[in-house]
Amino acid sequence: MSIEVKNITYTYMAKTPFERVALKNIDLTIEQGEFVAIIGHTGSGKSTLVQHLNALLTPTIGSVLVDGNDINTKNEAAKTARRKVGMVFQYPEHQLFEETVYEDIAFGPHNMGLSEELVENHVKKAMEFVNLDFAEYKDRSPFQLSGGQMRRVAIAGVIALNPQYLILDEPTAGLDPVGRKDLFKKIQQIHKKEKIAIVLVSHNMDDVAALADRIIVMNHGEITIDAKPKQAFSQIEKITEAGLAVPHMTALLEQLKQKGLAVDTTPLTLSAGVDSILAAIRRRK
Amino acid sequence: MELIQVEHLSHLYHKDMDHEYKALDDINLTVQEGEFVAIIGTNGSGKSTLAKHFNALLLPTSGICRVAGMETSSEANLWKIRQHIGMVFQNPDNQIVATLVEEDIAFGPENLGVPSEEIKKRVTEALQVVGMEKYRKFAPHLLSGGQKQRVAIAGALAMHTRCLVLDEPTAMLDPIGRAEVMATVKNLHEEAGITIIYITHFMEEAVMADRVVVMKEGQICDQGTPTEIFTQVEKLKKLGLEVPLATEVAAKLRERGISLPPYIITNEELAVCLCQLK
Repeated sequence: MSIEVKNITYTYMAKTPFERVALKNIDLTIEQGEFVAIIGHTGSGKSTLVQHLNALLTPTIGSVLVDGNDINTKNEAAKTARRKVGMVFQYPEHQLFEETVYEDIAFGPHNMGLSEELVENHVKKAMEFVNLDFAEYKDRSPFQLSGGQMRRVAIAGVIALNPQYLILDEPTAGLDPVGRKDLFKKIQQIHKKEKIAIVLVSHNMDDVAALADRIIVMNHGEITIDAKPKQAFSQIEKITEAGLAVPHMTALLEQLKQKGLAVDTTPLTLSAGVDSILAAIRRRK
Repeated sequence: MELIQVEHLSHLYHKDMDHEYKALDDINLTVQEGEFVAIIGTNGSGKSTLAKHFNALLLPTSGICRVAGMETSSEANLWKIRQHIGMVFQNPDNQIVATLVEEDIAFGPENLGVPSEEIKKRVTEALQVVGMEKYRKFAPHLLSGGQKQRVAIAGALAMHTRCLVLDEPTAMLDPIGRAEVMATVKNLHEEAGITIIYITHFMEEAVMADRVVVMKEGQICDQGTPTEIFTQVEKLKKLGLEVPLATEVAAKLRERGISLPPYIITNEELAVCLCQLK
C-alpha cells in the first residue's frame, strides 16, 4: 500500500512563451503509515508535486499510482484510488461555503453517495477529530467562527472523507503556538491510530524536524535530499542552497560550536539539545 | 512624541446582536514616534482588531484612538490618518493590485493626487529602501512571497507613511522570505526612523522590538522590553505562548544546575554566557 510517483515531469503552460518546467524526473514512494515532510522555498515545486498525489494535476510525463492504480486514468479503480488521498490546502477556511458547519463537512461524504446515517457518522467522527463539539457547532454558520475554528471545520471536511493518505499544505500558517500544537497532536494521533500516511508541506523547520520520520527537500523542481530528519538537517550547505534554514535548535547548537563550545549539533529536540550542551560543558571541565 | 494614543478603547463585533462579541476590552496604549513595538498573543486575543484601529479600518465602540493627535472616529481625519499609518497583512497575494511592481507602489500616491514626477521619485526611493530596485518592471506574481511583502511595504513607504503596522507579515513565507522581511523592517526602523508595530506568533521576531505588548482576551496583560517579557517562561506558557528557544534552553540548563544569568533571550547571549562558564 503506497503512493508511487514514477519519474514524473510537469511543465506549466507547455508550448507557450511562459513554459516552465516545475518538476523534473521525480521518483518517490510514500508507504502507508509514513510521516513525510516536504520542504522547499516558494517556487521549488513542492505544491506542484503534492497536487499530483491526488490527480489535481496530471503529469506531463510519468505516472502516479495509489495502491497500484494509476490515478490519471478514467475508470472506477482510479476514482476509488484518488479518494484515498485527502488534501488540505493552505488557508482551507477560504473554501468553506455551506450555511452550517454540518453541511460543509458533509459535502464530501454526500458526494461519495453515502447514506444520511453514514454521512452523519463521518461528520461526527471528523468533528471529534478536530475538537469541535457536534451538538454545539453543527448548526452554526462556519463564517461566524474564529479563524482557528474555521480552519478546523475545513480540515474536518477532508477527514470526513476517510482518507488513507492525508496531505497538508501549511496547515498551521497563522495559528498561534497552542493552536499549532493542538493540530499537530491530532495529526500525529490520526497517523498513529489509523495508520494514515501524512505528507506535510511546511516552512517551519522546527515542526518538520519534530514530527516527520522522513524529510524531502525540493529545489528547482528536483528532490535534493530524501533522508531522516537528523541526516537531512546535518547537510547544512545543501539546506541553505535550497533556500531553507535549519531548525532553531540546529542553529543554536551551531552557534555554540562556533563560539568554542564543542557540542554535538545533531539533536533536534529541546531535551536532546540540552543534554548535548550539558555533555559538552562536562567534557570541558 | 506620541504617534498613537489609545484610551479606554473597547470594540464589540456584531453589536446588539445575539452573537455580540467583545474583542477589545478597555485598552490603554501609547506608541511613541520611532518606537518598535511587537504585539503577541493567542488567536482571538484581539491583536489584529487592535491593529485595525490604528488606521481607522475599525472604529472604537467606546474609547478613543488618536493618530498624531487626530481622532480616528472623525471622518475628516481619515485620509490623513491612512497616510500616517501603512498596513501590511499576512497574505501578500491579497494586497497587490497592479500588474507591474512600480504601478502597485504608485497606486497609493496616485490616489492622493501626488504629481507624476513626484510619484516616480517616491517609487524609486521606496524600492531602494526595501532592496527591490531590480524588480521595478516585474509582474508581481513572478515574485517570491518575501519579495511581494517587500513590495507591499514599499507601497506604504511611497505614501510617506510614518508608521508601519505589520500583521503577521511572515506567516506564509519560507525561511528566506522571513529573513528578508525581518531585515527590511529592522532597517526601516533603524535607518529611516519609521515607527513599527509588529504582530507575530514567532517569538524570535518579537525579540527585535524595543517593547513587547502581550494581549489576552481583548486586554493588554503585560508589556515590557523583550528581555523582561520573554524571561518569564512559565507565565508565557500559561498564556499559550512560546519563548525564544535560547530562553527555553537556558531555563532547562538552570534546572540541571548550570548557573546562567536571567536575561538570556538570544542565541548570541546564550553562547557568550556558556563560553564564560568556569
